[in-house]
Amino acid sequence: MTDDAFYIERFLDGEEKAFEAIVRKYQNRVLNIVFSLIGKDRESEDIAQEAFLKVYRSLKSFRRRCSFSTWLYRIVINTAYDFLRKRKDVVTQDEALGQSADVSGGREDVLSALLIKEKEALIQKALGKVPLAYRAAVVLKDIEGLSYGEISKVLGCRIGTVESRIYRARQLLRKELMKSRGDVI
Amino acid sequence: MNACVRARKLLSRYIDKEARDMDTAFIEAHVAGCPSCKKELRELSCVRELLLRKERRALPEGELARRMLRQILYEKSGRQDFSMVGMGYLARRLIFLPAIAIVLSAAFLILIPQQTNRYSWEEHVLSGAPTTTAMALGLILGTRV
Repeated sequence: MTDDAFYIERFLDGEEKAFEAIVRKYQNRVLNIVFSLIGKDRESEDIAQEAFLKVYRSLKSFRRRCSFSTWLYRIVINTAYDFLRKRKDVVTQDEALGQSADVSGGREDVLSALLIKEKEALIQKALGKVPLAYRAAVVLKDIEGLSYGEISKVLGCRIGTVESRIYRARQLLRKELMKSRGDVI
Repeated sequence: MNACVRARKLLSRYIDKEARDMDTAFIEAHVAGCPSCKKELRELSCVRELLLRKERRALPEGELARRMLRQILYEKSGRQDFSMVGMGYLARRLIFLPAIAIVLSAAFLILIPQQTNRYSWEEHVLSGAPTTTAMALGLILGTRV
């Protein structure tokens, strides 16, 4: 029995603390998927929390037709989709640059931290320009490291579709990154 | 199928090391003699590397679990979580709307009677003077016109 199955069984037996173990295991993975999709720190945390709450409320109906992580990621992606549909905006470079920049330390540290931040912001901005369906596929692949098979289960499409979405997403990212700053790529 | 078209179709799988052995052999043989596909492979691999090295967010250990637990406890006790952290994006932005509505209502109740508190509603109807929107609202709120 996997860790997930063990904790799910305990949770379904009435041990609420078991769910905490699941959240602890997945919190940063979920947060990074959401952040890569929407590009906003505070909202990403809210969406991650909302997704876990949905899982908490519907875990009893989890049929185990797929792995727990696949089911969880599907809920996470759908929750992020819902947020983006309501907001219909794209992360701006300024917003991304303004987020969590800890630039304490020496002058060189400050400069290198700013350079890293700028690069991160450009990548995030480029991701924001990629259509959502392609973005989700490439985020699940390159940020979360899922296989093509797992991505096809999460997104509910064929492996060939995942393959072409990832290819297209990378082409669009290259185009955006080259347009915004040639030295990033 | 054109060799370049076939190679590009397989490029993602090749970059992600998910291509079959025969497809891997085909791509490697093709890019060795095709500068255009070689460039495409190099650039898309670079994009992948950038994403792989992208900074990862991390919350303090157990942070989300703590927030969730608080939210669940509030829900179970039949109350709502009014803390800013537990609120959604829209709620955080809409929290000022009731305050604005209260201020506007108070201003309306103070100003309208001062401007129109001249004679009773019955007197106004009997006078045959036109009824303004402010007067009509005053009637609804029970003030004098």
